[in-house]
Amino acid sequence: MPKIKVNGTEVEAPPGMRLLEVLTNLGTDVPHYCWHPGLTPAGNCRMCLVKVSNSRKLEVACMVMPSEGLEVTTEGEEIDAARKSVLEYMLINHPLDCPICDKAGECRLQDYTYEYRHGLSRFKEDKVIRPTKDLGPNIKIWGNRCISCTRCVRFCDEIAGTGELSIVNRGDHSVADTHPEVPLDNPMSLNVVDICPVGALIDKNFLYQARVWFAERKDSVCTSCSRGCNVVATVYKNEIKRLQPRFNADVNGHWMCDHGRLNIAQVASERRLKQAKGTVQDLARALREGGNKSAVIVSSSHTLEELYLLRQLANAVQAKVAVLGRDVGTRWVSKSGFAIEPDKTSNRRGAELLFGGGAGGRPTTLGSVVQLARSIWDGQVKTLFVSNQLPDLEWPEELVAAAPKLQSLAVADLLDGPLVARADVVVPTVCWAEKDGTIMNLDGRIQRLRPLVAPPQGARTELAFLQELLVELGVRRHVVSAEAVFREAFPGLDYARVGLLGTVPGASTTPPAGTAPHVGNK
Amino acid sequence: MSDPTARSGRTGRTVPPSRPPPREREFSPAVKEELERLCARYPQRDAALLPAMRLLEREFGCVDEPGMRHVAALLGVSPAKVFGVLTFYTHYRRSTDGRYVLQVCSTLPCALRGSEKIYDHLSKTLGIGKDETTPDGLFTLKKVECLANCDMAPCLQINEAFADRVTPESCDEMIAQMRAAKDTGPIGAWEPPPQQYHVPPNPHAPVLLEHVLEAGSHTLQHYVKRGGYEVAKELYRSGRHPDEVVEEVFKSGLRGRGGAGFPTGQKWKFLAKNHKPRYLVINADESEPGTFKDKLLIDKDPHLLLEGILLAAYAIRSEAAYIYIRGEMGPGAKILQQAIDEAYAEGFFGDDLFGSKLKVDVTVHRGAGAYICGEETGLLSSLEGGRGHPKIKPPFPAVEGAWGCPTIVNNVETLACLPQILRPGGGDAFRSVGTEKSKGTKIFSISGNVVRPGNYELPLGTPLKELIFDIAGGIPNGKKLKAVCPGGSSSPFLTAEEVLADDPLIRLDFESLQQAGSMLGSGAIIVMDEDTCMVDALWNILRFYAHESCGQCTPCREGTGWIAKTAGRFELGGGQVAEIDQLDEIAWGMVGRTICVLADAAAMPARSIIRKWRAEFEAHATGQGCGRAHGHVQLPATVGGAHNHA
Repeated sequence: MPKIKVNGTEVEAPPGMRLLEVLTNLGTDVPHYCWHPGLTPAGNCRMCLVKVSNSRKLEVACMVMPSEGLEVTTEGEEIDAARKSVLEYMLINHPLDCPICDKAGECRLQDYTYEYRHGLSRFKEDKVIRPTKDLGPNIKIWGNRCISCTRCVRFCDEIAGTGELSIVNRGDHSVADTHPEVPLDNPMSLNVVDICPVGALIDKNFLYQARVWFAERKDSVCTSCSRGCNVVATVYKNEIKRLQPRFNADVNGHWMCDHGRLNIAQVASERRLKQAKGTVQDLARALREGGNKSAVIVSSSHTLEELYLLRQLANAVQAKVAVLGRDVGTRWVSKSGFAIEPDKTSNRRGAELLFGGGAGGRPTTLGSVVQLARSIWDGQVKTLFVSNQLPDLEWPEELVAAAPKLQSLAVADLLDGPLVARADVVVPTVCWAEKDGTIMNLDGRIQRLRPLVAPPQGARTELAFLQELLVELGVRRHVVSAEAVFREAFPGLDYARVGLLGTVPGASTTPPAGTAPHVGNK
Repeated sequence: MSDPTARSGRTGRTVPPSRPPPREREFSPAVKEELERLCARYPQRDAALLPAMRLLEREFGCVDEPGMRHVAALLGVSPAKVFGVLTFYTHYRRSTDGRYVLQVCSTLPCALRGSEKIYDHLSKTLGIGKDETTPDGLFTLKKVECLANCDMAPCLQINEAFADRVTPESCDEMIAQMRAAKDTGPIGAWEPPPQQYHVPPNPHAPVLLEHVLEAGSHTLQHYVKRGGYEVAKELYRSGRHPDEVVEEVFKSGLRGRGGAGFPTGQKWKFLAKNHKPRYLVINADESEPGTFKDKLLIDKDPHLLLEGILLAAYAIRSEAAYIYIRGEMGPGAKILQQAIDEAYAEGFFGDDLFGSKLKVDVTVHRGAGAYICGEETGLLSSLEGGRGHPKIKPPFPAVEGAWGCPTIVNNVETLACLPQILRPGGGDAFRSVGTEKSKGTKIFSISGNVVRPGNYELPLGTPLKELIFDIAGGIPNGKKLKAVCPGGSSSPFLTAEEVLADDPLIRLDFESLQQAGSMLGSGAIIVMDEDTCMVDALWNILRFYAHESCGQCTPCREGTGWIAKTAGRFELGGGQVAEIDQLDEIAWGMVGRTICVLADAAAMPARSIIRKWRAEFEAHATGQGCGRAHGHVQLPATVGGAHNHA
């Protein structure tokens, strides 16, 4: 590793790493626009100018490959003046329309202009006008704000591999654009909005939704597929306004897919269940009476804590279990290797772990629910508890048709559906964005969900409800926190160990306590 | 129907389409085969994008959206990339273009000889403005930047053909003939008469230009008859070690003729030694305003260049050479291709050259209108089929150039020097001419206000004033000299006093001009007489650089436009004295801050003009004007104040 001196302090530069990344990792702030850690460097914005001992001119740090003994200066009059000058050029044709710009508050033009106290413009000429228009179904461009840094172009070329963008025209007419007949539309297109360092590329879904400085930023994990991309949610007035990827080298890198990003409508859906029916005692009684003629349907999108409790429940009353899954389409892999999984459940690995999916097999999917329906017709199952976390699941007609045959039906669900109408006990539950808990992604990484918004009135956490049920059944003694259940299920692990980026339980970690119940209808 | 390909703010009137444009375009099988043959000339298919768009032009009369998608699919690139490439270059025909695209050169050498009047005349006669098309779809009027035809100023390009030294009267005549032409296709077939080459009398025995005016000088037969290809034949049969040849060229003192003056042999020595193929790329993207020497060599002695290519390819062990010729030189590209075809037929290119088992292939790669492609890494980006964005150095092309392989980029004139250097005793002869550090003869292109503009091949070190006054006949109409731009518009300008001084005497060599605070550049000398308004001259060249900035680096993209607009405001009477220093400061802020030196090329002459002719800027700012009659200026509606030249 080459040793270099940064502002007089000796540091080691990891081999192959550009100077700007070395400096950024050291916490040395070097302003930049075009450089992005997930993309090849372009060296065009000219903002990250630093002084290096092997050049007379100032050099852009994003292109310098540190060599042994290199001395780097990142501050000083000459450097400040140069950066200020670049900033001045950058702003002359910029519309300075911050009051109406969606990027305000998270715009690097604003930040650096503030930092370098560049308040006066000497530019008296006419500005160049570039178009404001739709680039695709989700993205709009304000051409006048574009600084031609090519981050978006590089993203489409290098990461998505779909190449919908190019810089068009030249000189000060340069602007990012699509071919007039081929819109910017790929499964991960909205990442260009996040990486746009200015307000040029805008997410139409977020446009004029919230001023970011009034909104809260909260960390969580996307539950739209089994990848579990780390996200940060922008929450304003108890509403999730957008999801953005949060860097996790082991899961999603810098990116996330559009499906996951936009799949937030069900959280604030009008069709959320709010009205409870029956009590915990009613359900406990029904299950006790049903005994081994009871069945429980659980989903692969429950948290590990919920699944652990559901397993305790199934074991306690010797109920049969069917696990719901959801596969949509085929696996999509981007040029850079970013994958979008067809498994649209968030905790398949967790469900497999707790309910024993068998060698390479996934949890029993709706096929076995059809089998379960047959058992209802046969009179083998008389009591059914459906606990579902998959919104808008299309229930098989066989099950809906068999429901009236049941002696007792209880449903814990997010949205209204055909089974709810027929249920004796209804529990409106909270969704992924309203609860604390963990999920395991397809690589076996345990990651933590956090409450982002308050649940709708009337909705209950399943964690509490299931514990109350188990207390009623005499299996558990108290209602405890999510973390307490987690520590019980995964001895040796706690939420601190899961942390912001998750953890993969090692071989030394004890598997979840207790034995797996009888799965399916074998 | 709007044309999405048009630059915003520059859309002209469009031709009402007689029928809706097709939704899809497809080449005929024969054209597809032609494209495949083109693709085979490059290590990567997508490099054929620029020529593929020429095929669209030829087959469909323009490059439009469906055509771009078709080419994208054939070459395996995204439609957006094709769109980005199309809009980078100015020379492709668009769907809104008329049958005849009239391109008036507006850059300094033509402006000094009245090109504005030509433009105004055409605009009035045709009833259309810039980038607009007549309602009958016959004419499109464009203002373009330097056409490398400055000795024929004012010049006009009609579709691909050049019309020399045009006058309002000759324009009327040509328009009448175009109107009378019985055209059926989307591209008009009428052409002005072929160019007449004027090489003024040359006091020194020329070597490079010795034969250019002889009839048939561009043919293989003519070239072979005067001993052509003998040096190459000799070398390929000699079995000499290539490094010896490199050394010989190094010792001759030959320095690059494209502008930077870097020793050619030294450049060759920098080639990375690895197992990758090596490429020889010939820079024929002659577009530095005032430069028109390579065009002459290509049009009139292409085999001299081709033999130079064979010699260089031998020295650097390259099997593939690409001649990057600027897009505007359509006729030159044809002549060059004919010469190449002749040479291939004779076995002078291809496999087993002269029985040596060595092979060299040569390909003409035509640009499409972008000055920056004359910068060697911008050129390589364009050769690879992209926008002509210069690349960050290091790595230098000799290490990682075209397609990531070691590449030598040499100027046309540089390679044309090789046959004379590598013939027996040639190196010594070459070295015996010139100065201590600037060896040999060089072609100087002189234009602007001189009696005999043209190309002169002179020993390096010839006094500048000797060229202007003795050789080129001095300033016409008894006017006085005011300013000289000695090395293309990128070189800092010199005052008459500096040029006329005996001590220090400014000579035409790399060192002398550097000492004078300027540079030899490409050897393009633009002469301005006493009637020239220097504010106007500055505005003119700054418009050029703003138009030609590739747009990558912030200081250049924004700065070139800024100083051009400010200079324009001064010219039109809207400047303030306090802003003169500011203009200089803004120009200074661009220097040394960018990937290539285009920003420097705009800033350095600007700063020299502001410093040396500051009084003129002050006079403009204080409402006195400069008292000189000169070219027309169009007052943009947004710039207040009247034109200040009463």
